[in-house]
Amino acid sequence: MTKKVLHLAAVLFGAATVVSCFDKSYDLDNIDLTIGSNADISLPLSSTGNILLRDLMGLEEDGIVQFITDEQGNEYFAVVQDGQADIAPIEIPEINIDPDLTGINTHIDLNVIIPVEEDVKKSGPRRIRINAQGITSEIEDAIYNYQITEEDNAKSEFNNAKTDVDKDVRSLTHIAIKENTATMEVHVDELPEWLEYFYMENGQLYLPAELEISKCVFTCYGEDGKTTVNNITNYQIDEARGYTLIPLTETRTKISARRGMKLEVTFTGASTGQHFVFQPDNAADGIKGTITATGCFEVRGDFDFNTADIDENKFNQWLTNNASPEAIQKIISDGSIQSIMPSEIHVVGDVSMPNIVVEKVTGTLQHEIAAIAPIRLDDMPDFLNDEDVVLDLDNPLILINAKSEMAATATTDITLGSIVGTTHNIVSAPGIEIKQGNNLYYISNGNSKFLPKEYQSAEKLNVTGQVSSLIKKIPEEITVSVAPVTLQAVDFDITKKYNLSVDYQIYAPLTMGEEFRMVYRDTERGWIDDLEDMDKLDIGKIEMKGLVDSNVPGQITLTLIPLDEYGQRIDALRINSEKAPAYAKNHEIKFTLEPAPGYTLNDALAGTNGVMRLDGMTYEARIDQPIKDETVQKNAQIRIHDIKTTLKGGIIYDAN
Amino acid sequence: MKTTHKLLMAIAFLTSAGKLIGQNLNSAYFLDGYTYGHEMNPAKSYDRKGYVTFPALGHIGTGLHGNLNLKNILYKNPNGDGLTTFLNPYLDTKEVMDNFHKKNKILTDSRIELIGFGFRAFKGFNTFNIAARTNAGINVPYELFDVLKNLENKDYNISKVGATSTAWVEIGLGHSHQLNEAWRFGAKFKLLLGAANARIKGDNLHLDLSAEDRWTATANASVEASMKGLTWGEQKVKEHTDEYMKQHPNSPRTYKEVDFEKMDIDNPGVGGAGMAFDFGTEWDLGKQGLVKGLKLSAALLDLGFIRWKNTLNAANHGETFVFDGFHNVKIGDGDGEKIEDQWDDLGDRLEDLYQLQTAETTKKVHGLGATLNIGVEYALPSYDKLSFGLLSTTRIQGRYSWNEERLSVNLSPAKAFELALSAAVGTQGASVGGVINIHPRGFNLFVGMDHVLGKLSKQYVPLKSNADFFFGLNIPFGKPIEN
Repeated sequence: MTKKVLHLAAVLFGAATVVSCFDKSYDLDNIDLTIGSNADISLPLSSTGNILLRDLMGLEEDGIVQFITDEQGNEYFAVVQDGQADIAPIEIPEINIDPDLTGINTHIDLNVIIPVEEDVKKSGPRRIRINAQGITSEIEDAIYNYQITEEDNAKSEFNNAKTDVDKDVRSLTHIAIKENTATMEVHVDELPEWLEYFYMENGQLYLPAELEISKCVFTCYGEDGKTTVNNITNYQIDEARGYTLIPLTETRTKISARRGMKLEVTFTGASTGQHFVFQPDNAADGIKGTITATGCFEVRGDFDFNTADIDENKFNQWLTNNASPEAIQKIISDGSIQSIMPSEIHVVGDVSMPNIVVEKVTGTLQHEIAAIAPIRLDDMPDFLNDEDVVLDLDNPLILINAKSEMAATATTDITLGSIVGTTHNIVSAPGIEIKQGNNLYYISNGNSKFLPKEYQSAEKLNVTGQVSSLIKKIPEEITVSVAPVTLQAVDFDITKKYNLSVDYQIYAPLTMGEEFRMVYRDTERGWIDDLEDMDKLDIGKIEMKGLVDSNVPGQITLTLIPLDEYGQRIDALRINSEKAPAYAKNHEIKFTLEPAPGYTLNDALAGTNGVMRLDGMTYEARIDQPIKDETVQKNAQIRIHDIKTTLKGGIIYDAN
Repeated sequence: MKTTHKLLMAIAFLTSAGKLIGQNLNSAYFLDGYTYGHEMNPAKSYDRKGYVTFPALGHIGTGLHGNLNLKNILYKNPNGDGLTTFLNPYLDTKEVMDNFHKKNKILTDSRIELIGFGFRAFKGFNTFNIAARTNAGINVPYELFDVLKNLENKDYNISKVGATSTAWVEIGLGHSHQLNEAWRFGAKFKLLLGAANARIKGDNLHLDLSAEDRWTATANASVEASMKGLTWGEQKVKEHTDEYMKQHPNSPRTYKEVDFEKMDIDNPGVGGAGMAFDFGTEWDLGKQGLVKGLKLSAALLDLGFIRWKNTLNAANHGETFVFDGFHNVKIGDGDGEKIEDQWDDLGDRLEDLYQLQTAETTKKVHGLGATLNIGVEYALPSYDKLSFGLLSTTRIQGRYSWNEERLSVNLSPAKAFELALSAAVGTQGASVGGVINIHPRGFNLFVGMDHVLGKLSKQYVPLKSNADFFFGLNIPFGKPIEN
C-alpha cells in the first residue's frame, strides 16, 4: 500500500511539473499589433457654421458683384458696374463782332431856295443889310434847303463784319449782346463863317432792323450853346428795306452847324436775318460757323440855312474880305445871296460802335459726345471665370443719371451693345430728354421691382432691343455710345460753362434665370504630410448623414472628390453626390465614402494595390435649377447640421 | 533622475509585476516538516527543535496570481504569422471577450527570508525572522477591455481600475503555543519597515458613447507614491483651460502637472513604519476525541499597517469631459470656428481629463491586506502518513482581493521526506501544485509550486497568470518530533 501511494504521488508530481513546457509558437518577439474594431461607431452630431455664399464665391465689395440693400433692408447680390460718358463741358467761346463802321463823309447839294415868306412859321421876313466895300443894300431873307437823300450815301457801313461761332451752334435766330451803344456825331463842315446854324427837319436815321434798340438819345447843339436832348422811342420798321427808322427831328430844329448833333443808340440784341447772317459749320472736321454783319447807319433829312440867322457883321466882313464889288453887286441885283451860298454842304459824321459781344444765343446747339470707353465687366469674382458658372440674369437694369446745368432741354440717344458668344446685342434708347438738373432713367425689359431706392421715380425709357439679352450672360464689356446732345436754346447764356454728364450703371441683381449655374470648388491638399500614420488606417466605409438648411434660391448639389498626391481623382474611392433643393429646411443628405470593388480604403490611404495615396479632397457646391426671379441674398447661406458621421464595417489600425 | 534612483523605483514597482512568488506555499500547509508553516498559520509548530535559515535562501518565493492571462491578451494571429493582440479585429469579438472576467487581476507577492530561526522554548515554538516582502497587483475591469475591443456607441462604466505595489521589510517574532492536547494557538508580531508604496487608482471611469449628440467621459484618477526622499522633481506649470476657469472661477489659473520623467529620489531609506500581527489556531479533533485524524486550523495573517511619512499625491480634476461634436465648423470665411481650433480644444480638454495635478505631500497609513486561511486536514486512520487537506485562502485587499480553495494530498512516507500534491479553484481559476520537502537532520530543502507554470512562451513568460515557485534551504535542529 505504501509503495503504491508513493508511486502514485511521484507520478502525479512529475506530471504536474512536466506540464510546464514551452510553446514555441508563442513567440513574444513576433506580435502583430494590428488593432481595430468590427463595430460601427458614430461620432456625436456635428454641424457646420453658416457657409456664406458670398464667402464661397469670394465676392468683394469692390468687385462688380456687390451687395445691395433695398428699402426693406434685404441685402442681395447684384452685378453693378458704373460708367460715365466723358462729356466735355458745353462752352461757347466768346462771339465778338467788330462792327468796323466807316465814317460819314458826304457832300449834299443845294436843293432848293425857299423864300422866307413861304415859311410862315418863321419869325417873319427880314432883310440882310449889306454894307461892304462901300456898297449897301438889303436882300430879302431866304431859306436854302439841302436835302439828304438815299443817293447821298450819308451812311456808315458795317463792311461785312464777320466773326467765328463755335461749331456747337448749329442754328441761330437771335443773340443777346452785352449792352452796346453806337455813337454818331454829325456836323456840317466847310461853311463860311457867317453860316453858323442850320435847320434840320424830318431827320431820320436808318439802321439794320435786326438790331434791337433799347435806347436812343438824340442830342443837338443849338443857338448859344443850347443843347437839346431827346429820348427817341418811336421807331419804325422799314420792312421793305429791312431797316429800322429812327425819327430824329420831326420839326425844324436849329442846330449849330459846327457842333452839329449826336445820336447815341443802345443795342441789347439782334436777330439773324438780312443783315446778320449766321452760317453754321457744315464741315465734318469741325470748322467753326460764322456771323456776318452787313448794312449801315444812314442819315436822311432836310438841312436848310435861314439867312435870317446870318450875323450881318460877319457877313459884311466876309464880303469885304472875300467878295469883289461885282459879286456884291450881283447879290444885290439877284436880291439873293445864292451866288455866295455853298452849292453843296459837306456833312461829316463820326460813327463809333464798340465790339458787339454776344451774351446769349437763341437757336440750336448740338454738342458732340466723345467716344465712350466701354463698360468693362472683367473685374469679376474668380468663381465667375469658371467655365461651369453661368450667370443667367433675368432682370438686369440699366440706370442712367443725366445731369445738366443748362436751363434747357437737351435730347440725346444712348445705345448699348454687347457680344455674348456670337450674338451681338444692341439696345437703343432714342430721344432721351435731359432737363436742367438730375434726370434719372432706367432701361428694363423685365421686372423693375429691383430698382434702387434712388431710382424709384426714374423714367423708364422706351428702347429697342432686349436688355436681358444684353447682360443675361455677362459679357466682357458693354459698349456705350451717346449721340450728340441737341439743345433748342433760348437765350442761352454763352458766357457760362455748362457741365453735362451722363452716368450709367449696369445694375443686374443676381436673379436667376433658367440657365443660372454657379459652382464653387475648394480643394484641400497635403493630407499625406498633415496626417501621420494615415496609411496604417483602414475603415470599411464612412457614412455621413446630415440635414441641410439653405436660403439659396436654387438647388445645391454637393460633391466630394478624393484626390491623390498628384491632384487626380482617385477612382478606387467612391463617394456620392447629394442634392438639396432651393430653400431647403432640414433636408437630409447622406454621403458614403467607400472603396470601389476590389479595393480597400487603406489602398488609398497607404498607396497600395495600384492606387495612388489619398492626399486631399475637392469640395464642390453646384447651384442650379433656380427659382425664377429669386435673388441671391447677401445672407444666402448653407448650413449642414445634425451631421452624423459613422465609421462602418470596422476600423483597423496597423500599430506595428 | 539618477539611474540608481530609477532602478530603485523600478525594483519597488516591478518586483511585483514580474516573476514573483506567492507569499506562501499553500501546497505545503499540511506538511508538518515544512519549515515555514508558521508563516501560513502562526499556530503551526515544526517537527524539529528548531532551524536556522541559510541567509537569504531560507525562503524564496516568487509568484503570479490572477485571472488575466497572457493568452487572454495575445492570440495566435489569424493570418498564421505569430501572435497578435486581442484587439486584432480579425479575432472573433465574442470569443475574445468571453475570456475576460468581470474583474481581471494580476497579483504578485514575493518574499525573501533574509534571516530566520526557530526554536522551542516557552512551551512552544518560537520564531524570528527578517524578510523582504513585496506585493503588487493590477485590476482591470471587463469594461475596459470591452471599450478597447468592442468600441461602439454604448455606455461604458469602468470602475476600479487600479494598480498597487508595496515593498517592505518585516521583522517578525512569533510564538506557537500548545494549550492542551487538542488546541494550539499562535501569534506573531511583525515590525514593518516600509521601503516604497505606490497606488494608482482609477475610479468612476465612465465613457458614454451611446448618446447621439454627445460623448461624455469622467474619470477620477489618483496616484500615491510613498518613499523616503522621493520628490516630484521639477514640475510643469500649466494653465487651466478657459472652460475649467469658468466652472472654477476661484481656482488659480495655473497648476503643477505631474511629470513622471522628472521624479527624483534623494537619499532613499525607510519611508514608513508599521506593525502587523498574525494569529492562528489549530484544533486536533482526533486528540480531542471527536474524529480521529481530523484537524481544523485557521489563521489571520498580516493584520497591520504601514504609516508612510512621505507620500506624494496627485489626482486629476475629475471633471466630466464632453465631446458634443464639432459645431459651427467654419467653412471658408464663413461663420464658426475652424475645425483645427475645435480639434485643439478637444485635445486640451481631453488632456484635462487625465492630467494629474500635484497635491500636497502627506502622510498616509495603509493596511497590508490581510489573509485568512482556514484548513481542514484528515489523515487516513489506516495510514496516517497520508492525509487530505482542504485549505481555504482568502486575501482581503480591496480591489485586489482573491480567494482560493485548495485540496491537497499530503504524504509523509519518511521523517526526512514529505511531499504534497494539490489542486485549487478560486477567483484566479484552477491550478495544480505540489511540493517536495526534504529535511533530513541538519538540512532542509523544499521546492514547490502552488500553480505549476503550465505553458511558457518562447521567452519563458507563463501563458497563464497563475504561476509560482518556492524554494528554501534551511538547517533544522534535532530529531523529528511528533507534534
